[in-house]
Amino acid sequence: MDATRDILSAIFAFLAIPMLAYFIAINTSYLALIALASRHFAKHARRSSFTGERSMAASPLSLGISVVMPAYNEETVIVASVRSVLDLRYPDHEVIVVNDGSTDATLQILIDTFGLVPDDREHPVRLPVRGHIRQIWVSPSSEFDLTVVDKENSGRSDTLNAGIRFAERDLVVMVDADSLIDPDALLKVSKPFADDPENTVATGGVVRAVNGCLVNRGRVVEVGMPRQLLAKIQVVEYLRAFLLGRTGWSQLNALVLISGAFGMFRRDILLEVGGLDADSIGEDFELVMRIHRLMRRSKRPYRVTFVAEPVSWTEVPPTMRVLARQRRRWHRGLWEVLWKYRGMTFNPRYGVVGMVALPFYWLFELFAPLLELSGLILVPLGLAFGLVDPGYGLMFLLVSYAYGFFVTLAALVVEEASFHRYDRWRDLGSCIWAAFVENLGYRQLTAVWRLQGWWAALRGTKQEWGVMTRAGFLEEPAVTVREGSR
Amino acid sequence: MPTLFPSSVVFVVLIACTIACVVAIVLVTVMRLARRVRGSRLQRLTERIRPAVLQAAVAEQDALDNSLTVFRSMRGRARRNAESIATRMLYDVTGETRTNLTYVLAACGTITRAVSRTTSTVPVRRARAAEILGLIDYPDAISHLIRLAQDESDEVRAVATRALGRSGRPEAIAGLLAALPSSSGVPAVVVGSALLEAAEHSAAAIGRGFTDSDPAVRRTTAILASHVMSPGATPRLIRALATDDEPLVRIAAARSIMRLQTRDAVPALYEAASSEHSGVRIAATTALATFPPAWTHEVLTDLKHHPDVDIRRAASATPIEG
Repeated sequence: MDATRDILSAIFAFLAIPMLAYFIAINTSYLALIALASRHFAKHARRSSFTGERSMAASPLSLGISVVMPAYNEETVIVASVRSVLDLRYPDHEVIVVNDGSTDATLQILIDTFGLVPDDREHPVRLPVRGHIRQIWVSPSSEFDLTVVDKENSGRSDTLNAGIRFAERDLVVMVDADSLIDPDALLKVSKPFADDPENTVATGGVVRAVNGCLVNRGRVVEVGMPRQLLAKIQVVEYLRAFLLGRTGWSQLNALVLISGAFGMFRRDILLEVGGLDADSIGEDFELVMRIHRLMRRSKRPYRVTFVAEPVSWTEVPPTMRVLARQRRRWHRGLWEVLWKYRGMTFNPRYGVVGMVALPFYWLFELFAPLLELSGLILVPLGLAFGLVDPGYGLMFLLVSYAYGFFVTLAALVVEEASFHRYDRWRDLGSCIWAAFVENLGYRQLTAVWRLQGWWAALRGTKQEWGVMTRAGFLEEPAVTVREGSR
Repeated sequence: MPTLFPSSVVFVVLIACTIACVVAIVLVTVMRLARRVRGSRLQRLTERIRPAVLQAAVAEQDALDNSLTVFRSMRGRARRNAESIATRMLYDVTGETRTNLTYVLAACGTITRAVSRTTSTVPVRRARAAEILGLIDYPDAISHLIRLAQDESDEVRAVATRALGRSGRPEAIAGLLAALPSSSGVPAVVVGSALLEAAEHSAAAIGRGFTDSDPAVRRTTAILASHVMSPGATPRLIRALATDDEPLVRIAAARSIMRLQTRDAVPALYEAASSEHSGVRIAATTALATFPPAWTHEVLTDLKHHPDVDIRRAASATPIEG
């Protein structure tokens, strides 16, 4: 008992103050990102009357876009998804659906619905693809530009690479078949390329939670908060971390993560970096890091931009089991990518990415669950052994959770001032409630799952892709889709 | 037990956190409330003003002056609302309706304000002024827009360029051509789209861009040539495809030729299909594959045996159904 007490005492002597400083730093840095994002939103709002989107929507000079959509057992949603992408408002876009060896009727439904015919020409070899390509199907009609690549199952990254291989336009956007895309999504996300074609190499669109929204014919027509508490918390989490956090990073020109559910890239750059890494768990993060490395090493000016206007909607996991799997996978991917690119961290050659963004991700993303759980175990132990006073315990709760709650509230204020998509009073109440409840169990649980993911990566356990049952945002019975993207 | 923080410090932090959270909750609630109130007020206002704007938009000349009286007396929110409704409508109308809506904006004082804001020190105001001046049927707007197209702010230049194109007036063309070089800082897609909007007057002038020293100008010209049916476009495009040093210009020329479907271009396209630049090869072969088979049978048969798989693939494409 004395030995335990001595050890704890030594730990507290060393960690008591740094632990508090860590939580102050993490919450303050999030607050700073939110402040940067709010400044950008204010600037953006003042310019909303002259964006030029109408002109771009009709211009034959707009850069062509290839929409690449991987599909695995999506028979219940594939037609609605493809139609909604074909109908996107843009003057020149093709759609490439890559059937990743689906075991259901995904391919046959596509062939029958769109009257596809086989294309027996040789395949282009711009990117290596592991899964054997069985057949290419194309639409014989000039009304829409649709290609379906049928290949053996080989995972999402390899499937996207197969799609990129067949992409003919200057820009490539990768979307998930189970995401809903806003009609003007391509216009909004391609705008940075039109404004700065020389320097923009990638843009990311914001992904919002579709749970609780009213959907009609594949479009979100009314935004609302979900009924389930778990989904409500994720909505608030997406707002704070993904919408505002990434907008803040984009303002610093240090955006290192573009969501796999809606990312747009210059095709020549994608081919130059060799497409996605088929072995990576965090393939979207890994790809953006590789682009940063390429551009910095070759000393070319470039920009990776985040577009904060809502463009894509995805269903967040409605159950603990699926959420746990998703968070384990995300954290595992985070670790693998940070480790792979460790040489860029604190390396001035990589500018603000190497000196600010990567250290932030190491310290405040990768280590966050470890430090949070350590605090949650050590502080009660310290109190039990009389090593710290209750005042310290209260201080710990204040700087970690109360400050964290305030940061989330600040994110809600910025959302209200900018996009205010959750318009009903009860939605506002739900958001505030979710921001509060997030600290009572959710954060701790996700910290455990994230640590498990990290541990699995360190042990080299094989990563399995799970499936989740969608609660159903389409006017159809519950269907099965892959886990949502971050 | 060591006391790391005096209780007074903990108390102050506790109070600070509580106040911060309460303030944030109150703030978001007040913002929501204010927005709701503004929204419902705006809705009531719109219900009242929109019919008046619509009536003026479709009014006959003799009845227009009566319709405009109501706008002349408008102040504050009502005036801003009328401005907003009329401005939004202007994006979708032409002819007499556009002229009438211009009168509505003149009656609201919008045009006078926009003109005075063209010299504002705030770039966003100048850009907004340019947007309004490009929408209305107002000849004097062009001189302001031409000036704003040379503005020190990239953003203002881009909006003014777009507005010049939307005005569709012959006087705008010189300003648009001046924005074509990459050094203008206006994105090529903005200038090109503007020239297309003013195609009636820009077609003849666009051809000059083929000989410009700036590759960006030559590329935009090559893209536009097939869209505006620039006189003498075909031989110029063929020459650009065959001789231009810049691959992006040659690719643009090949794509334009594809759109024009000109038999004279087949030899140049066939030669470009063996270019050193893969993009040029693919663009040229893709163009050939869209031509009537009677023109290209021989060359495509040859290209189907090309060492580059992308060329073989492009040459084997079957024309899509119309």
